[in-house]
Amino acid sequence: MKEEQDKWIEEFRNRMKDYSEPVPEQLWEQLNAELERPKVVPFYARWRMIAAIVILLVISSLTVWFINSSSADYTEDLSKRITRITEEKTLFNKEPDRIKEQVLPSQPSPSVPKQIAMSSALPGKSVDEIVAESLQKKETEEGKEAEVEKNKELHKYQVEEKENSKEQRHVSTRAARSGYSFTASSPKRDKHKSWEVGVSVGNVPASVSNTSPGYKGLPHPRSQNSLMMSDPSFSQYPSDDMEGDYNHIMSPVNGNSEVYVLNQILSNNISNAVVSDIKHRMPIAVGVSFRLYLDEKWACETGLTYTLLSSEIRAGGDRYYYKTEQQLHYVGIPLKISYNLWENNRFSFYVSGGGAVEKCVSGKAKTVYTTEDEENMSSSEDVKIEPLQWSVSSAVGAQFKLSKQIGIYVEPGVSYYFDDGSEVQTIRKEHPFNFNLQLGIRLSY
Amino acid sequence: MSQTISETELTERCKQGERKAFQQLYEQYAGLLMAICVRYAGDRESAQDILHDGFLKIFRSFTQFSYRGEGSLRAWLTRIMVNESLEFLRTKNQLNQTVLMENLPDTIPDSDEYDWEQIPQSQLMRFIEELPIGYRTVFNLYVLEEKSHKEIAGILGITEKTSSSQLYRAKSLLIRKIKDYIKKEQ
Repeated sequence: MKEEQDKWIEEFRNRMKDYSEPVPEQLWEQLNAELERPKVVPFYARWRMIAAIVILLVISSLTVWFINSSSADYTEDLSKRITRITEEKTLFNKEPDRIKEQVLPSQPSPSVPKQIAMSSALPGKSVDEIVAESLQKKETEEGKEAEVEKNKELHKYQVEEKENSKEQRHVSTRAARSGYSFTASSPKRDKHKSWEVGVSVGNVPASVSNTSPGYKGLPHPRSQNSLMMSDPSFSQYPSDDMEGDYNHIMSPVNGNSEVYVLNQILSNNISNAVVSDIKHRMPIAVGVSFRLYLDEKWACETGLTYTLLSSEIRAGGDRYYYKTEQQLHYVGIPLKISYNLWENNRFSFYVSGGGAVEKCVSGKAKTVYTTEDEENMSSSEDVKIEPLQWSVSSAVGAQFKLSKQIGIYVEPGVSYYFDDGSEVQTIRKEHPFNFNLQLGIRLSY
Repeated sequence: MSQTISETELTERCKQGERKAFQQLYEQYAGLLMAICVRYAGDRESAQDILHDGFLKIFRSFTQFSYRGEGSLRAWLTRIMVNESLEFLRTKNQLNQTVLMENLPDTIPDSDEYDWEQIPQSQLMRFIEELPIGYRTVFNLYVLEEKSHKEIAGILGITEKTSSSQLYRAKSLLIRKIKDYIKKEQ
C-alpha cells in the first residue's frame, strides 16, 4: 500500500514536472519598464522630476506672496474707504448744503457705486427693466403706491445722470461682472434683489466715475454693497428725492428689517473707525479618485471631489457691526496626470498636475447683525452660483496603501481658478492662486 | 535571442544586469514558473501578480545567485517563486485558516495503474487548483517541490502529522477526481 502510494506520487510528479502554464501577455514589457526604476534613473526622467518640483515651488511661493500682500493691502484700502464715507456722512448731517458742493466735485474715490449702477445696465437689461422689476417686488411686498411713485422719479433722475456720463463707460471689468450678476441674480434671492434697489438708486448721484478698482474687494455683494452704497444715499441725494428713499430704507416697516438694523450699524459707527475684515478660510476638499497607471511612474487620474469654501466678513465698529458667514459646497470632477517620486509597499509620494471643473451645488450666507454688543438679528439666504468653476492645479501628494489597489491620500496643492463670472465673492476670486488641501480614497489600477 | 546560450553564459550575462539576458531568462522560464504560481495561488489572476513580483525579485537579486551546475538555475528560480507564492498566501492569511475536515472517503480508492498520458497536464493542474488551500499547499510542497513532512511543518508552521494527513486527504481527493475524469472520458 505504502509503496503503491509513493509510486502514485512519483508518477504524478513526473507527469507535472515540466508543465508550463501559458504566460500572461505583456508581462515582460511591464517588467522591463519596471526594471528602469530603481537602479539608474534615466536623465530625462530625473529632469522631469526636478522640473515638476521647481514648478511646484514657484507656484507655492507665488501663492504665499499673493496671499500676504494683496489681502493686507485690501483690508487697509477698504477700511479707508469706509471711513471716508462715514466722514462725509457726518459732514452732511451737520451741513447738508455744503456737502453737496464739497463732496460731489472733489471726491473721486467712493465712485464705485456709480460704476455698479452703470454696469448693471450693461449686459442687455436696461435700467428701466431692472428698476421696474424691483419696483414690482416692492409693490407686492409692501404695497406702497406712493413710494413707488417716488422711486420712479428717482429712477428718472438716475437715467438722466447716466446719460450725462456716457463717456465714463469704461467700467472696470470687475464692476461689470458684479453688475451683470446683479441683474442676473435668480429670483430666489429675494432679499438680495430688494436690496439691489437700494444699491442702484442710492448711488447714482455720486458724481465722478473712475476706473479705480474700488469694487475689487467686495467679499459678499449684499452685505458689502449695503454698507457702502447706502451711505452715499444718505448724503448725496437732492433733498426731496432723497427724503423719500431714505425714509423707505429707515422706516422700520418690517419691524427690525435687515436694512433698518444695518443702518443702525452704519449711523452708530459714524464717528468710529470702521474696519472690515474678510477671512477666506482654506478650502478643504475630500474626494474619491481613480488612478490608472500609464507606466510605472506616470498615471492618469480622475474622480469626484467635494469642496467646502467658507468665508467670514466682519464689518463695522466695536459695538455695531455685522458678521456674514458664507459657505459654499462644490462638487467637482478633476482630471490629472501624476508622477510617482518614490514609493514602497506602504507609502507613495507623487506630484500631480491637471485641471478640474466644479459646480456649486449649494450655498448659504448667514449674517448676524450686532448693535450695542447685542446680536440684534440674523438672516440667512441661499447663494446660487450657476456657472461652472474651472481650474488648473498642481499638488504634491502622499498616499498610504491599504492594499494594492486602495489607498488613502493627502494632497496639499495650489490651484489657479478661472473667473466663473458670478458675483459671489470667494477665496477663488480673491486669490485665484490658492492653496488647498485634499483628502481622499484612491483606487489605482 | 533566438540562439539559446548555455546556462552558464546566461547566468553570467544576467549578473551583469544585461536586459537581453533577462528577457531570455524570462522567456525560458516564465511558463514553468507561472505553473508554480497557479498551483499555489489557485487562480490565474493572483498567479500573475505573484509571477510579476517574483520576477522582479529574481532580476534585482540575481547577483546573489551562484551557479552550481546543471539545474541549479532552475532550482533557484523555483525556490524564489515558491517563496513568493507562500508569502502571498500568508499575507492573504489563507494559510492559517483552519482546514475543514470535509467528508472524505476513509479509504483511498484503489489507485489502479492508469495511463497518465491520457490525462492532460492542464487537467491535472485544474484538479490541483480545486483542492482546498491547506491540502493544496502541502501537496505542492511535498509532491512537486519534494519537501519532507518535516520541512513542510517548518515552512507552514504546522505539525508533521497535520502535514501528512493533509497530504493523504489531498491525494484521496485527486485520485477520485482522476477516476471520475477517466470514467467520463471513456
